[in-house]
Parts: sequence; structure tokens; C-alpha cells
Amino acid sequence: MRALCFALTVLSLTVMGCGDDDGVGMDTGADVGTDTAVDTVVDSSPSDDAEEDAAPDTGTYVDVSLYTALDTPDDELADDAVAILTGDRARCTSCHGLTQDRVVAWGEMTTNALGCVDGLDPNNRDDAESILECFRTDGTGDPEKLGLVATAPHLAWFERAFEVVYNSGAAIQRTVFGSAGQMPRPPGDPVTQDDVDVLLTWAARGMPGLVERFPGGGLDCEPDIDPRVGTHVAEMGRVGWNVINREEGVSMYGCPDGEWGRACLKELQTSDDVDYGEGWATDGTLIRILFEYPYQSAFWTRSSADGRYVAHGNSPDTDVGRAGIVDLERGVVVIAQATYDPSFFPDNSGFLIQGVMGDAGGRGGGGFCRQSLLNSSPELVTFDEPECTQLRNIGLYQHVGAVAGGDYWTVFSQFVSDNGGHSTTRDPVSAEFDANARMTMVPIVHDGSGYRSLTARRFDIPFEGDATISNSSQLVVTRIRGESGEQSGFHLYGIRAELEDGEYNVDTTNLGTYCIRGAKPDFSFDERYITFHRYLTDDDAAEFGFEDADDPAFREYRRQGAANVYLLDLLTGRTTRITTMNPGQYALFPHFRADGWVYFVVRDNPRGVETVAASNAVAE
Amino acid sequence: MRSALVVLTLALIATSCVREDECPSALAAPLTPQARYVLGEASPYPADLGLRSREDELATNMGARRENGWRMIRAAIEPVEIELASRTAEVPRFATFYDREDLRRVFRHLELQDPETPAPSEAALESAFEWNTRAVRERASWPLSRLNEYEESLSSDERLHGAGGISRVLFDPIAAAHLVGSAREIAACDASASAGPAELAEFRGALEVEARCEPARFGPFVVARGARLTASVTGDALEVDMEGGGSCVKEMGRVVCEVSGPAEVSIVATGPVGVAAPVEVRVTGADPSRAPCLAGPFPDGAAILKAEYRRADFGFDVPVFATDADAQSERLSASSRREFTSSASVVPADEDVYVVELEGGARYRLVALHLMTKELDHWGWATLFWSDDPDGDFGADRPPFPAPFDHYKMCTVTWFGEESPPITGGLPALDAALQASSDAVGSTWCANPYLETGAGNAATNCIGCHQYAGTGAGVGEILGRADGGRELARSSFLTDYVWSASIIRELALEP
Repeated sequence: MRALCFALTVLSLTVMGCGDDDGVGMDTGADVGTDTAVDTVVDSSPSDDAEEDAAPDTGTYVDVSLYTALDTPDDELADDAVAILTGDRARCTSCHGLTQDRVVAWGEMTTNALGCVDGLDPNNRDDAESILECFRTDGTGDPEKLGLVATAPHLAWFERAFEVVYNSGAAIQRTVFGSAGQMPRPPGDPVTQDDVDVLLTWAARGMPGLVERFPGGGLDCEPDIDPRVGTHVAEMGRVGWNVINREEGVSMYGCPDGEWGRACLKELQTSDDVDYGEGWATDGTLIRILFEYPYQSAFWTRSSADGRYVAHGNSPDTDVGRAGIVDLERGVVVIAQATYDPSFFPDNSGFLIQGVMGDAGGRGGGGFCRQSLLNSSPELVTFDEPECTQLRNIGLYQHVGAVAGGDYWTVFSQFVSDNGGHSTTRDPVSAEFDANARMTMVPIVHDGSGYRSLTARRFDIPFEGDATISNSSQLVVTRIRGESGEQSGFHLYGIRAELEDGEYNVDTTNLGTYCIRGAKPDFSFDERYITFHRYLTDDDAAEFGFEDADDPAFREYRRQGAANVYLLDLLTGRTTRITTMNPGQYALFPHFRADGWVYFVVRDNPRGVETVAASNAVAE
Repeated sequence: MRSALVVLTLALIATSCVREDECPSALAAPLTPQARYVLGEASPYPADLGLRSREDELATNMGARRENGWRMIRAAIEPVEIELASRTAEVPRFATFYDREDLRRVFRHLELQDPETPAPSEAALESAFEWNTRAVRERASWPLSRLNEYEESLSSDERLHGAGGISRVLFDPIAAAHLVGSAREIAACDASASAGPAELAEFRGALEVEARCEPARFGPFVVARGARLTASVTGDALEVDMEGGGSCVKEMGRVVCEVSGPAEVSIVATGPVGVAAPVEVRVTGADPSRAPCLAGPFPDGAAILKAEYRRADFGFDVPVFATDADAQSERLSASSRREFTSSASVVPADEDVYVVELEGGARYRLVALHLMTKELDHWGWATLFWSDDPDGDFGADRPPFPAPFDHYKMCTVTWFGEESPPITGGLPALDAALQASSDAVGSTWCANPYLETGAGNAATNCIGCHQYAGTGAGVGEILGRADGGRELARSSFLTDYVWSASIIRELALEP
């Protein structure tokens, strides 16, 4: 048992171990860490009793460690860690704003993670199972449980744990685990064991030097709408994807005889027809109930331009595939072997879902398929179909657009994960974007034989993130981090991409600033509106007709939370709430289909189901 | 006396093993309604409808076959005039052909997505394709002023040539109309039920000598290449022979005559006046007149084309492929992967390759053009591929072609197996490459380096692959056959060798 004892000792010392005064709020304990010799932490060295402890069914004992604690001085260690986190190789900042708050949060997650595996030996089957269980949610790796340990699932310590638990199935299980739990996501390169040693040593010491290396900051919001917004909206009214799709005869879901917009979906129940939907629709609007499913979706939901397909992370059978595509026409959920973040192209031609699951070789990246694949009524999308291809240099939180007669574009940036509403969610979605935030635009071009994503164009957008591109690819909206650390508004950019001498010249211009809060914005097809959701806070009590947040009648909202869908008119800056959800009901991830119906998902905690619904608030 | 005419044809397709319906690029840059307005109706392929009389020559004479292949290509690239608002311009004929989106517009205009809509008449099809040229005028977003602006934007050759988009599969008017007109058959087709063994054509009658010195005759029968006719005449009172080929033998109280196609034969008998003998004729083998998943086989003159473009922006280059005798021997040897691999890439000069510019400014180079024409029962096949060595081997016998089409090589097939030495007899480099190819694969060879990608695909002859069109067989399954998918294996041809019949099935599935 020597190894276990040793591991326990060292781990407990290091986790408690002592950073500088600017640690991350963990219990710093006694200062025993900085000048110690190189220790092997969470070690699996064989003990005298190794034969008892090791996994007898997997053969030889393998000497592996999650990480090796370094004796590097704090300052140097902090510099090394920051270099890894912010460097081009790991590309953490491609997705995450490395604000002080966020890194602190990662530190706390990491402490919990290390504590969870404290003393466990991946060579021992029971221990190995415990290790994996420490980090899993719904069968896959959970970054929030892993913290910075999420940089290590591809390395030897995890490899041994999977091998011991799953034998020949280890590689597949590790791929599934990593599809959500491995950081960085593609296109970032996996970090090395040396880097993991640095990161986990730094976290274990309490992240010394964090404050000075990750200062705060943000942007105040000044409302502004450039007159060119009007010009653009007028142009889209003539040649936007709503016009093109209508003229191309795109058959909208629920629109008989070529109907369009408000005339559609009449065969479906309204929210007023169902008891749980009482009061959902705001004055002058109608909400239709499209579909209901008994499992919890993960992260955002998006739909095809024709409104027939509604996709999200998670599925009815996550062993088969971790994303679901609801086919409203057939009333079924098609399982997709990807993970989350679906996008549909505005010309109704295709879709993209991130985190393609794979065989032992692993795949990852975005799976991009022609929509005709879905029209053929599949039960499963594997992304091996001839209609599909893999795009590997598209970061998470991507949104897509298309230039009529031109190329597809996708944009991604630092983002804030938002998977709220599964339980009481009362905090507004944060705006953890840092001073080095950048927006990346990637053209997806047809090279003659298939689609390829090309070299990215990057733009500095300090303290902004969650970038979303419009359907025409001519606008981008971002969320702005305010000085307080919370969102201060939305920033609207104009995008001009021109092919000159065989290369794209891409320029951005400021078109507007809208000083309101909201998450997961999405553009309408006529590009006049964005829609977004907002979690209910105490500040909203008056808007919902309560005296204030202490009003007894508001109590259920405080207890169960709620979220609602809003529209922002980019021309006028006017914000309109288009749902009034009841306590425990979260209207989330609103987005448009081509004829202006706003689809959204309702995470209905009191009923334990999720509902896809649609509002006609600005349907044509 | 009965006579019967049986036309058995074998579709010969000169393209290799690429299912266009498996290509993810099929939706890229389609032909827009405004482009169709400018281009007008597609220019018909000028077919040589007398080519059937030369079928034997084409099967046995490589020189004649290649000369015909170049003729086919020339007919496809021949400039045709289009009338713009302010000028007359020219585009290659194939650039006017219909693409999937044209078919989609016509399909929906005819309301064929409604299963209750009856199959369209010829007149309705004609009217719908004519409407398609005006469809854009029904769009509020396209007033005449905008159309004029659009026409003016087609100021350069590259822009004009790019008006038609870069769709992978294109159809001449006959082929397009036949496909749309087959919507009901395609929707109803059960490939598995139609993929059974060879169907028999049977004819029964009697031979009776009605006058002295005047033989009785049963026929004629036109027996297509790949088919076999067997006639059985009961009794031995008459002297039976076959006129036009084949041979007859007496056996056990009957005479049996046999002939393999191509042939046109009659069974004749002489003998006592008034004596009749029952006769039974059976024809077996490949029957291109059977296309159970279409409203009949494609009409004569139909042309279908597959184009492969490569992006010319972003510094993209073009891979080059050696096709000389040594390269072919090495590539096609049984021990190799039989795969096209390029040894280098080049950036062709704009004047050396056909370049199109799309509406959004994207530029593409044409690297391959694959043509099948219904000038023979089993189609004629020619495939064109760009080369940085345009006058070598498969370009050595190219007749004078206008630039930039003088930078392309060509191969062609009209049958599964070679029926004579596979050389022209006059051009050493070409003949060496042809001989090497044939020696390696043991049948006809014609594969396009830019289209037939992947292991096994360089050794195909296109006709072998396309015979499976409509059966649901995947490329891997076809190439995985013992014969590499090159030999005649089918007796009926569900969609008459045309993979892209699947487009109609897709359109029917669209919501």
C-alpha cells in the first residue's frame, strides 16, 4: 500500500499547498510546496502490495502519474502556466476569456478534481472506475468536474484508467469521454504531459500570481445605432435569405400550399391550449407547441431554415450518439454521432454539429452534412455518410452564414457556456471575455470536390465574445463585458469580405451598440432583429408585474427561476419580451427560421420535459 | 408468317466509377434562375444518330473510337450563341445544360412532389422547361432593372461562363426532360425487386413454306451487343438456317440456331409447300431497352455530363497525373492500389485551363469533363482531363481544339471488353499507353484522374460501374467485385446507366 499512502500524502500536501497571497481563494494552509523536490503526485508506482492493488485482468502494472509536481518557483511557474493557457498551442483564449474570475473558477474546479482522485491508482480497477466517475456527467467527461485536469485525458494516466476498466473498448470510451471532456477542443493541439505538470502544479499551489497576470477590465456601454444599419436592413429586404428562400420555393414546416410566415403552423396547439403554457404568449402574439421530448438537451438549440429540423446537444440514446435532430415532419429524433453546438446554413442546404464522435482513432471537429441527408429519413447520422465531411479548424460556439452566390462563413470567439434551466438558474449569463479576446472568421469554401474550411481571419475584440454571424455573413453581434464583469450590452459589426486576387480581404466596421443584457443572440433572416434569452433576476420583478423581488407572489420565481425570450430591433434599439414563462420554465436558445417564426426550447422543470415552441411575434 | 423485331442494346458508358449522387459538392453554386434567364433553354447536344451503324467499328477499332470520343467532346464544348440585352455572346454548349436546380424548379412547377400528380406529358414538360427560362421574372426581387444589371455583370468571359455555376451533373434538354418525365417510375422503383436475373424475351410462331423456291422467314431480330439469340424449330421436315449470322445444328427432332450480338438475323426455312414447323425464339443477356426505373430508356440524343472544378483562389493548385505507358503500367498493375496519385501540382496559367467566375467572385478551373451520350444503345462515353502535358499520350491524337480545351486529354470506351488490339496503330506514345492500360486491366480502360479517386478506381472503365446505376450498390461494393466492376454483369439497367436519377428521388423527398 505504499504507493497509495504516498500519493495521498503528497496530494493532500500539494492541494493544500500554499500559493502566494494572491491565490484563488482556496485554503492555502501551510507553505510546504515551493521548495520541495520533484514529487510524483497521484502516483501509481507499485507498492509492496501492488499485486493486490493492481488490476489483475489487464496485465502488467503501469507506472503512470496524473502529473508530477514541480519545484519551480511560484513566479516562474505562474509565467509558465499563463504562457500555456494563453499561448497559440493550447488556444484556450480562442474559446475562453481568461478573466480573473474564470481562472479562479478553473482553479476551484481543479482543486475539486484533484481531491476526487486523491490516492486513487488507475491500475486498480475499482480505483480506475472511481477516477472516471469523478469526472463524468451523463457518460462523458465534464469540464466542470475536470477543471484543468481536462487537459490530460489523452495522456498516460487516463489511458491506463480506461484500459483497466474497459480493456479493448478503452479507446472508444476515451474518445467518448474526450468528446466533451478534453481540452482544448479542436483546433487546439493537445497539451503535453510537461504542460499538464505545470498547470496542475500551479493549480495545486493555489495559482500564485494570478491576480497580477489576469487583471480585470471591461467596456462601458454607450448606445449607438449607425444609419448604415437601416441601409443594410433595406438591402436584406430585397436580397436577404428570407427573400431568396421564399422565392426558391423552400417549403416551410407546417406551411401547407406554399404558405409562409404567420399563415403557418395553424394545425398545431397554441400555448393557450395546454395548461402548462398558460400566459406564455405576450399580447398580440401566438406561441405554437411543436414538439416535446423527455430527455434534457445540452447547450444550445438551432433549426433549419425551413423549420423542419431542430437540433441540440444530447439525444434519446447517448450510447449511440450525443446529439439529437428533431424531425418535426416525422415526429422523431434522429440521433447524431456528435456532441453539441448545431448550426444550420441559411440556404437550407446543410448543417454542422461539433464534437463528432468517433472510433478508436478519434475524429472530433465539426461534422458538416448536406441537409438532403436528413430528408432521406435516417435514424442515425454518423457523419460517415457521403453527404458529410469533417471540418477541423472550426472552434466551438460557431455560427454560420452564407453569401448568396458565394462562400459560407463561420465565426467563433471566446464564449460563455450556457446550459442553464436544468435546475434553478438565476444568474445572468456572465461575460467572461478578456482584453485579448479575438473573433475568428473562417470561410468554408467549395474547392470543387467538397467543402474546406480555410485559414482564419482574426480580429481583436477586447472584452467581447459570444460572436454570432448573420445569415448573409454581413453582420456580427457580440456580447460586451462591462467594467463590473457582467454584460454591458451587444456590439454590432458590419462585415465586408471581398475576394481580391484570389484572397479574401475582410474588414469590420462598428454599426451599433445596444446596452441591454441577453444571451445566445441569433439574427432574423431579414436581419432586422436579433432574438436572445434572459434568465429572470430580481431586477425583473417589476417588469413581470410584481411590486419588487420581495413580493410574496414572486417567491416561486425566486425559488424555481425562469427565462424568457426577447427581440431586439436593430433599427430602433427597442427590446421586446415575447414570452412570459411560469416559475421553473426556461424559454431558451431562441432562433429564427426563414419566415420569421422564432423557435425556442422550454426546459420545463415542473413537468420534467423539454418543449420546442415557436412564436409568431415577427413572423412575416 | 410472323416477324418480330427485338432490339437488344447494351449501354456503354465511358465514365468510370463515381456516383454523382454520393458527392457532397452536388449543391455547390447551382445554376440560378437569373442565369437561366440569360442562358435561355439548354442547347441540345448535336448527336450523331447514325452512330449505331458503326457500333462494330467502334468496338474493334481504337482509332475510330477515339476519333468519335473527340467528336463527342467537341460537340459538348462547341460555342453556342446567347442573346444578352446589349450583345450576342458565346458560351460552350455544356455551360447551357440543365443542372439539379433547373430540374428542381421544373419538378416543382409541375407539382411532381405531389404523388397524385400524373406523369407529365411531353407538351407539359416542354412548357415547363420553357417556363424555367422565365421563372426569375415571377420573383418580385428581380425586376427587369436588376436583371439588366445582372447581365451587365457578365462582362468577362469568365463571368459569363460562370453564369451556369459549377454543378457537378448537367443534362441536355432530352436527358433533362426524360428524367423529370420519369418521376413516377423513379419514385415507384424498387431496386431490389428489379435487380433479378436476366429477363427473357420470348417469341413463338411457325415457319411455313407457302411457295416453292420462296423460303419461310421468322424475323428479323436485332440482337444487341452482349445479347444472345437462340431459336428452336421443331421437326425435321424443313431445312432451317439463320440468315445474317450465327449457325444451326440438328438435334433430336429439332433444329437449334444460335447467334451472339451484335447481329440482325432471321430464321429461314425451305422445304415442302404447306408444311409448318413451330418456332420458338429466346433472347437473353444484357437488354438496355429495359430500364424499369425510368419511363423507358433515355431517348436517342440524350447527353449527360459530369464536370469537376477546382477552386482557383487562395493559391489552390491543380494536381497533375502522368498517363504515359510507364505510369499506367505501374498504376494499374495487379499488385498496386490501382489508384490515381499525383506526383506534382501546378498552377495553370489562366489561358491554359477553362476558368469560370461565379457571382460572388469565386473562380474555378475545369479539370474534368465526363460525357455520356445516347448515340449508342449503351451510350457513348468520353472523359476529358486537364494535363500539363496536353499533347502527350491521351492527348496525342486530339484534333485542333480551341484554347484552352487544347490542354486536355481524353479517353473513351464503348464496350466492356476490347475486341481487337487496343491501339490506334499510328501514335506510339498513345498506343503504348493504351496497350499498357488494356494489358493491366484485361478489358477496356477509361478512367479520369480527377474523378475516379480512391483505391481500385483507376482501373475502371466507367461502363462497368454505371451498369449498376439505380441498384443501390455503392462504389466500394462495385470496385470490390472480383472483376473490379469492369465486366458486364447485368442484364437489365434500372436507370439506363444513369446514377443521377437519384436527383429526382431526392426532389420527391424534399418537403
